[in-house]
Amino acid sequence: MIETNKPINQLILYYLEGTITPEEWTELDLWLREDKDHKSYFEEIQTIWLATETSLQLTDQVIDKEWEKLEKRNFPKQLLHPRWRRMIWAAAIFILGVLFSWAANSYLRSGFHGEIQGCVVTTPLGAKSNVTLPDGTRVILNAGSTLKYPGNFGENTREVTLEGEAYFEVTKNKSKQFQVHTSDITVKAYGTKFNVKSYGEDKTIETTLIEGSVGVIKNKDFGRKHEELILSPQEQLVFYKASSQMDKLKNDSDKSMEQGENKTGKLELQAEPREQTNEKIMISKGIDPLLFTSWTQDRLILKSEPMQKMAISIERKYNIKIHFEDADIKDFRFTGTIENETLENLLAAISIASPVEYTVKDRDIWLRKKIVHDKSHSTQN
Amino acid sequence: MISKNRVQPVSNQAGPTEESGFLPKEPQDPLVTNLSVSRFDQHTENPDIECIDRIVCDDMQAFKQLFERYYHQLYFYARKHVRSQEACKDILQDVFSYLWEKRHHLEINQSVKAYLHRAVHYRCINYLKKENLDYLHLNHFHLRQSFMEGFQQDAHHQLQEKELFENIERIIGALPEQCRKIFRLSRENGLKHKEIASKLSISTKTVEVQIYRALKYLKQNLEEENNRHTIKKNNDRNK
Repeated sequence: MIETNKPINQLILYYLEGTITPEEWTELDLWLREDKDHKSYFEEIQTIWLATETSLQLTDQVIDKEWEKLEKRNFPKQLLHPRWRRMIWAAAIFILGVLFSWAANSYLRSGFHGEIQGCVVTTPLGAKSNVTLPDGTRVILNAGSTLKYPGNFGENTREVTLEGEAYFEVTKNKSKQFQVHTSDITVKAYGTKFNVKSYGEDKTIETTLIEGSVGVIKNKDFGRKHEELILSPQEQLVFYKASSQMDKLKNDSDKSMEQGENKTGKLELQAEPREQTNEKIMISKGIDPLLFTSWTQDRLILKSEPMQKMAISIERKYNIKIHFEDADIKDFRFTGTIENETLENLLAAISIASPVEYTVKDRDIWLRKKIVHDKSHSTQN
Repeated sequence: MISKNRVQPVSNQAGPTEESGFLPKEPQDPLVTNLSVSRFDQHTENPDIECIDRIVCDDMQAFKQLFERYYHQLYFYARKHVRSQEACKDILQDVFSYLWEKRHHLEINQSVKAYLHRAVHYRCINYLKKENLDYLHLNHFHLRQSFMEGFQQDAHHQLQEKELFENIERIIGALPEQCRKIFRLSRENGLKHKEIASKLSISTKTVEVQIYRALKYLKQNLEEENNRHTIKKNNDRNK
């Protein structure tokens, strides 16, 4: 072993620290070659030197920093794990689907009042339906009518949308108002019986109250409490479409009504034709509710009913089409009850009670004025 | 999905198992290179195999697990041959990047641990060749030769890494205060001996003596620890 100025321990330390000089290195090198034990001793000290460094310097923070570096280097493009990306795709597609169906839904229902998904009951012409809503409210839906209500009906609100005619027996619930939306007006009720007639092709919307009380408001005034009109039992509100003002008018035709206590099948001709009043709301007091709810029992009770209106009721009830060859006929008025009559009997009764004759072809019926003194022009069927 | 690159455990090799810290008393045959040492304990699931299977399926979380599990020992391994700490960290970055990049085409015919060590080994050689470093960087003929000859599982170490890392804190804690303080400044804060001396207003000589004392103390204690384990293991075996 070559004599050294410095002890071998110091040389090893210098080596480990990295401050060893070439001369000192040569010396250490010679010592290492000298003996196998020297080498293993040196290696063990080096191991501890490095192991302490590794253990003490590579803290969790250092490892995290190195990991972040690795992440940045390897995943710059794929910021997310493929599985997450797949999930995000799936979620995006799902959300798109929901948005689309929502959009489609609101588009289809844009004519109505912000309803979300629910039930639609439609009655074809010549039929009627009984519907019981989730809150127990009973609805009888007349021919050619549609009733819609949202899936969450009864949760917070009780709202239905009606096109056509329906009779309601609303289950009492003070905290949840029952609302019937039609094209132009909304009927609000808590626990009542009433009838709403709102066919798209009709010029009027009729709300007839049988029991309790209801409020009626124009859709464009919705939310303005003072615009609401309150109906009492046996009152009827007629809304004339395209009307801009609300007028409360009393029905003064009580005298004609007194005559109207008629037997089945008897029709009474009202001589003077009356002009249609447009752009108005009329409230009739003291009406006979039966007139407006009789359809629920398959009866048609008429009181001073103009032919034009009666014809529409008949069209719906029997699923036919009535054509007027003479415009005058439209204003003839009828009073009476038609109960479970066949169409033939009904038409015969009309032709007896009024100067009208008719032609039937399949589901089409033509009406014209009877020319009493000239038989050559009449065509009886 | 089961990877076709599944790690094949080689079980009958006389190598240390990480779990036991068991050291073979038999000298290693230096000719046996590519020694495949299995970390696979026959009775337990190998977490590395599971990890690799998941990495093959693009599981980044599994990749992170593997990174955290092996970072210390791979750094330690690289550091034995490469003096620069930054270079060692760069080498590990390269090794792990490569592993992730090639995850779908991995061919690991040995334990994951051996695979990673081998990868670090060759990166170190490349680094040393490229940098054309002086004597401070593994100029020692014996070390260099055996190192350059190829990768060998680090069985020649008398001390096992896991044992080392686990026990170092505890043994340092048992050092006399002044000695501990100086040693920590050196190993934890990476200060040079001169810097420590000026910081503590003591001579460089004292610093060196204290550091050496600490190293010897650690060596002695770690060896004792190892022997206890070895005896215990041998006793368990003889039962």
